[in-house]
Amino acid sequence: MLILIVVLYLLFLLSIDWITQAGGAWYRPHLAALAAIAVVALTVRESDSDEF
Amino acid sequence: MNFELATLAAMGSGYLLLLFGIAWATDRHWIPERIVLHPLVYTLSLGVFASVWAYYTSVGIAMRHGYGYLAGYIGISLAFMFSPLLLRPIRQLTRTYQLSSLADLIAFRYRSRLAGTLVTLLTLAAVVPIIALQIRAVSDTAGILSPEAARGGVAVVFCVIITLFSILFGTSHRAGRNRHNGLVMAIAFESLVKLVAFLAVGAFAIGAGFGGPGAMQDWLQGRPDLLEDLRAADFAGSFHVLALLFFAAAVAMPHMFYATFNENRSLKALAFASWCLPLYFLLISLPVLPILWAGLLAGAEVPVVYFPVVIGAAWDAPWLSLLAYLGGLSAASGLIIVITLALSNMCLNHLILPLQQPSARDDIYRWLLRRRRLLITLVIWAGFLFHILPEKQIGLDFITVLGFSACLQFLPGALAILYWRRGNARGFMAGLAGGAAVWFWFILLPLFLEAGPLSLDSVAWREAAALSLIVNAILFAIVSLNSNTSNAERHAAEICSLDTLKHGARGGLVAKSPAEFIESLSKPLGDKVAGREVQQALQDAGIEMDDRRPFALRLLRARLEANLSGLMGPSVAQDLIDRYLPYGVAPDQPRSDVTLIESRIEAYRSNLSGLAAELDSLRRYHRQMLLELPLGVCSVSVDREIVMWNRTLEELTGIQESEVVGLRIEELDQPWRELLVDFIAGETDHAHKGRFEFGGRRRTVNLHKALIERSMEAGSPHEGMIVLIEDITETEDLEAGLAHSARLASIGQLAAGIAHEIGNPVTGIACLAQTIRDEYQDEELRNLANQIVEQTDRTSHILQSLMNFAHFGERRAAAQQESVNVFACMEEAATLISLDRKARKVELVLEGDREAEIAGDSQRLLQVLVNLIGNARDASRPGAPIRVTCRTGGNGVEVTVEDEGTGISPAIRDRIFEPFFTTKEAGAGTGLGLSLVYGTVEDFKGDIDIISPVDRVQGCGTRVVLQFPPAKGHSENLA
Repeated sequence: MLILIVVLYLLFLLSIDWITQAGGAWYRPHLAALAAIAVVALTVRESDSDEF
Repeated sequence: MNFELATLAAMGSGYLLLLFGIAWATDRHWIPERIVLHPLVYTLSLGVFASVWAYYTSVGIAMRHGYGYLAGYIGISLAFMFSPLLLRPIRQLTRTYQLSSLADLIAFRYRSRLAGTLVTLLTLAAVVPIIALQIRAVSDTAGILSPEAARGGVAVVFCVIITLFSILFGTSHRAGRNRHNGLVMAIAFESLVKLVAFLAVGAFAIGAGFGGPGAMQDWLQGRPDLLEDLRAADFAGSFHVLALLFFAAAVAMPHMFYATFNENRSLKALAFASWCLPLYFLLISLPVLPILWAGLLAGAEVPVVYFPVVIGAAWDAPWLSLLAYLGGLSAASGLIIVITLALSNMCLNHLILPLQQPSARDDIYRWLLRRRRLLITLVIWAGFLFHILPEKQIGLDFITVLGFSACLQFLPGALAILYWRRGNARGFMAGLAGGAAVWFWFILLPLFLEAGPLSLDSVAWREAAALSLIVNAILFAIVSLNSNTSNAERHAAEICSLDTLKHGARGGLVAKSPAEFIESLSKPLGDKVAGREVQQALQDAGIEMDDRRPFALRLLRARLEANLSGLMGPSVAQDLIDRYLPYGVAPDQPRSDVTLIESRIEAYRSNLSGLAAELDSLRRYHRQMLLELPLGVCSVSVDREIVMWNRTLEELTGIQESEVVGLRIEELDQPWRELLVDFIAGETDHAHKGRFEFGGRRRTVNLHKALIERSMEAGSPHEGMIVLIEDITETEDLEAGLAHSARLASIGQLAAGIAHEIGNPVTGIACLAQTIRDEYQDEELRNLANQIVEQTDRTSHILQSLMNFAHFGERRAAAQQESVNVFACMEEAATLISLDRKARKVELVLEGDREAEIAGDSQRLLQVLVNLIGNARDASRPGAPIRVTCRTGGNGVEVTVEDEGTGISPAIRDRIFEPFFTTKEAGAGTGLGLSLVYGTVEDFKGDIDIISPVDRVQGCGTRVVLQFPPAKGHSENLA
């Protein structure tokens, strides 16, 4: 879970500039969110425990 | 755009009836369970969170704050993405203790009824505006689609229908603690409808409005101001605060708490929702910008928030407007139903029941149901009243912030439940009061002020919400750290902390059986309800009605409290249980219930992994060591309750662990009660050779005891005592046998000495008699002398046999393989046996091959035959025949000793060759005879077989068959 938090935070930091870049597609935030959801889905699939 | 009001009404009513039908069909199990219980249905039901703010308000926020509209979606999504940190532990608590709302959880954790009441009041203040927002969105959109419709009328009709629906389905279960499958299914369907409707509007806006994605992009290039606004979102400020508001809402908003925890089926469903719900929010947020831009393109003359319902009409697609309206109706109705259900429970548990409780004469279930229905009605209509405030003062987006920022005040208290044990009720209430005061002053009050420093226009909600949270958290921490925490609170904090499981307080209850539980609870609940609740708790806890163990009764009490908590709230349930099922002597401090912890860990084991699993493995290893220890181990708590009873003790006492754990030591059966109670009460830590009768046999045990210290520090309080019981009965028997053998050996040596001493005079007598016989001519004298010689020969023979027998042990080591005449040994054995004058007289019959020889040692064969004939004599009745036969055959020499005695019991047949095993009375036998026989026959490379009974009809007689290989020369002769 800690790894997940770190990964998502890094993703967030990296994506802010990318999202607000001039000329970028309007749905870029949604793509970033989709990537984050995919990471979570993968994590949930691999770990079915209460360990943090 | 002008739809008939009747059309809208019919569509709205038809839709709500469809929902009604889905819920009804689900409750009647017409929809397959695999669908109803599928995690996707649970996830969609959580989509209830995407209410009017997601459907309408987000378009308005996108207009003003660009990408800032995404903050809400991100906030709530993060709460689910990180569900193991917050949602899973809370779900565990709510399931274990039947807590149905955040107020229940707070009251349970902080052991404060007042805290629960404050949470309920602030939630009411937060939720009523949000309900008003839903009602207003429905009436406004109806007004946009059908301008002639009276908005007030639409709102009234909507409220009536939604009130009926909420009452019908939300309170269909009388006990109030069941899952509402029908409702969940209906809400999931609503979430699906609004998602489809919103996506359809978005797709239409791009496809029909702009003519395709490329055309929309071209149009955007011509509106750089829009793209500029889009990217000008305040990611560092409002974005974070808004995200935080929505993150907190996952736990703090009553409808989310209800949908997430109360209607959850399994951890698997929650894990599924942790990624699927964010995906749902991602999908529903996707059309927001296209809808906004299409509305701007169309020049719609309605507030921006209502663009979703005008897009269709703007491009001659009235069906799309109707679909959009339906989606909005779906979003609003779903939220109102769930939120009022949740709030009615909270109000009942924390506002009504503390003031008024049903009497034992009432049907409590009906009493609660009526009040819950009344509260649902009141909450919905309070929202209705709020929605008619002047329009200027309640922007849809601000109302959302208003409600969510009020619920934000619960976040510090909720997090402390899991992560800060030092937090207490005073701190929580101080923080809540401080945060709520800031919220009231800077967010709520400006709604009612036209102008001035606190008016709506001049107050920045972002700073106000952040300030309220900071004030709340600081006050909570300061007051908690500087005020006393009660034992009950500390205990509840331990229970709620992430790293501990349910602990039960130890202590004896006044009620001593489930029947007495019913009797005690009948006073407040009535006979019928008390009986039903106790039976339900017994069933839930897996306890029998006749179980009287203190441990089981404590478990039953805890289960009852949890069940009643689901029915009446934790405060009332706790009061009720404390008052009517009290402890006889309250424990001075909470003591852990090891048995309960163990059972919980066992049940939880499959969920453990990593370090937790390894620690559990270590725990099991240590426990297994104690269980398998070849010493009886019994652990007794401070209040003299048996905590552990290992396998050896089970075998020794014949009492199973499951029967005895939880009993007081004084409740054990005799002789264990007296043995253990006296020893535990005694001053010595070791007691040797305690003797008692058990199972018709005398037993001897050594006892040892030691205190179980809570820590290594000297003088620290102890957790109880461990008692070791060492069964030394067998060892003592062995010692007695060895002593008896030693005595016999001494007697043997004595006999040999005596025989030697007697031998000399006998030889002298024989010599004299021979002299008389040979030298005197008197015939009579010679006859007498001859008889004396015969008798002295006989005496010498007897003395020689005695000496040979006594020297048997010495000879064994140096035993030589010689040719032994078996029949001669048989005769000598018969002679020896007949010397015992006190023994039973039997008829010894010797027959068979007189020339049979085997390879071995004659004295050892003699010993074998004496033992076998002696056993046969002891088993026979007086005068009974004992046949000793000897036959030579192809396989060697077969010797049989057969009697007509009592035979050998099948129960002991396997043990008769064990050393010191005897069925004779103490002192009568050593238990070594047959053991020696077995060893000797093996040394002679022979076999031994025992047939008993010989006479199967009468069940008597024993035949011992010895099979020896022939002596070498003899076998060659045979060949």
